[in-house]
Amino acid sequence: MKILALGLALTLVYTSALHATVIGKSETGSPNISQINVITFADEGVLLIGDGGQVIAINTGDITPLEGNFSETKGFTAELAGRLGVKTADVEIIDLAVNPASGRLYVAARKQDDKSYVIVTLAPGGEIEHFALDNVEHAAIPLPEGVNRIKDIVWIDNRLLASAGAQEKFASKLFSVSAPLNHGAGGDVYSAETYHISHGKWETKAPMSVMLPYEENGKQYIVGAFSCTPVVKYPIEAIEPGAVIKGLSVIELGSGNRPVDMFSYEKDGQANVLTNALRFHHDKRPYGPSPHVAFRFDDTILGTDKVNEQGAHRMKDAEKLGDSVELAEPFFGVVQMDRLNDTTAIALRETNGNNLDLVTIALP
Amino acid sequence: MTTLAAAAAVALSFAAPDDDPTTAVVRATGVPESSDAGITLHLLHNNRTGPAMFGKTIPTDTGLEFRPAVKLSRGANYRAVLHLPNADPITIDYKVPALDAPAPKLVKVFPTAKKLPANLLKFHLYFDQPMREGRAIFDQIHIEDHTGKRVHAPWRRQERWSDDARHLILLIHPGRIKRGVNLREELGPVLLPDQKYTLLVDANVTSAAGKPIGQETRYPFLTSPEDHERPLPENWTLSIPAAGTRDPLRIESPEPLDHLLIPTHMAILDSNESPLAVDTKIEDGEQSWLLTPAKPWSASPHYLVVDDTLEDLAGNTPQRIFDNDLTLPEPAPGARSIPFTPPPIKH
Repeated sequence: MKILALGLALTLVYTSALHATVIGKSETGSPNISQINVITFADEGVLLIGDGGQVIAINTGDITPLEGNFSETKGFTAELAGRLGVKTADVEIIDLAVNPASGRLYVAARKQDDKSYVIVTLAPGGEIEHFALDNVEHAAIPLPEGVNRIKDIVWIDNRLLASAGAQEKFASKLFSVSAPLNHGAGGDVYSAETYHISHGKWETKAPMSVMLPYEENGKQYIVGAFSCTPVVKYPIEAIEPGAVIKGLSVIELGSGNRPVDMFSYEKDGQANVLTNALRFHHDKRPYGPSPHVAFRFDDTILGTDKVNEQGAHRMKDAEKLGDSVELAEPFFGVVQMDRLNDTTAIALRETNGNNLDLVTIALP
Repeated sequence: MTTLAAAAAVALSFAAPDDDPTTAVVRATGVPESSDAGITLHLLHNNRTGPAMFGKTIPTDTGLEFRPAVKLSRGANYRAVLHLPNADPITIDYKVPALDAPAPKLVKVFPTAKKLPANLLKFHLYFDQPMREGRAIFDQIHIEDHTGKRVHAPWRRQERWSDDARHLILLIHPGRIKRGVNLREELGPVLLPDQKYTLLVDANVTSAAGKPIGQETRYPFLTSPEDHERPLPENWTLSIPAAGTRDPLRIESPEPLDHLLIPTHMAILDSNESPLAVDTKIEDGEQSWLLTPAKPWSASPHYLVVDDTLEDLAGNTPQRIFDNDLTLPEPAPGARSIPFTPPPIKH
């Protein structure tokens, strides 16, 4: 594991190819994906797909670092739709992720007419390519009964952690599987309690929308963000059988926001987190020209000892927080995003209805 | 198999199984073996060709075959192009036969209770065929108040479709249900007590096959005060059937429950604590339900066992209310298992 040291005792964790083997027992063939809710990457170029009833780990073999820069693609959705043989309105982009082992972009989309899911890739300076799923080495990890909806997945400390819930209920669970991921093997489910700063209450049912690995003083955490946007860290060591995991809420970024993506990066020796969100009541209280907004906050927020009842509120405590948290204006309109490197994000931005542009944006 | 030929010497054709024309491939014959020929396939829409579709061209015994990476779309037009060195490309068009699918219908909306609590958590919409998924649905379904004014942004904008895309669960935004939450304080609750509302489904909600519903569908409902009580099984009334019969066990609740969870979140155990196979029928606006056993009841103790996460219409469970404050003392758990013994038949 590559750990990015950030002075003091704070570190944000990135994955690299130095980990233990991600996939153990595997199968080669089609993983029979019924739906894609989210995609992300583990180590070794292993693509993790959150399906309705399973998490699928796919060995992409894509581990050679690529050179070059991404160029802007105006009308990326239309281009993708054309490559799938449908009109722009007949494709919906579900998620994107950059493979940190290679720097290649992966995009998951749904073809609306037959509800089929596809994954496409884009190399810097390259063209959109289809990532065929009919003959891949993979391990499918079934979700336990009652858990059938994956919100986000992270790979941390040789472990897959997924924020999950139930399709038919408003519920929140953490799903955990340790490496190696063995085809057909199950995982464990945990409950978490989270303090929501905005309304001064502890919650058990609100699902965590996005997650991020984080390390502080040698202790590993998952940082999660929820709707209305509390940012919460959970100690990894607490995730053990029978435990109810209590989170530490460090900040609330504003009501009416549903987080979509979140990643960390270093700039000028400072660790930062960028998260984008759909602003629920943009019509009545806009933050900018688009309901798609983003926030940057630095590691002083994550490392604060003022948590839960004392946690900060971006709007109310703006003066006190100073430069440690801000609305990331260059990211207005960003619907999906991931980190390319410490200086640049790659994103799909809404400028023309659902025909999204693929852009690179300098990190704030 | 349908084959449409385009030329004589060098021929280009679409070949599609009669039972599924969306799996059509493109074949080229008469192509010189040594030539650097290739086939591309494009969507043809409004007389414009799209970019080359994903797929691969493979050599066959008779020439070349292009296999698209994804299925073609019903009703869409495609253009195949055979690229030959030092020659004009050869093209052929193909329209995938459209399915003669009827317009979809919204066939059922739950809850069906006469009055819904003002802190209602979700609607269930059932359609008669697979529907078009996508976030547009949140702008196509509305709640109107009694004046015809639409309630602003009522939904949690995350799709919850069944695997077959016939059942949509629409969550009212929990941030506007939970008391003390800033979203509710800023925007107010979605529903107020003792009011008339209409769930309004736009005419442009579309089936997976691309057909719109075609007419607006309205589902009027009334609201009752907010429900902040747990649905405790100890408050239910059981009408116990006689032993030796397959008469249903009738359970009546003082409040409606989520219809989807009733069959899956309760079970009947026999005296050995083995679950009985039962068929569940829900009646009276989700306020009573009938559990009919596959085999006749025995005159021995049985137990109705209820899962902690069974929900009423406001998302309250036997364990806790929906906007529970975890800093308050846990309420008394209440019974999750109700014993009953079918009596012998009186002769």
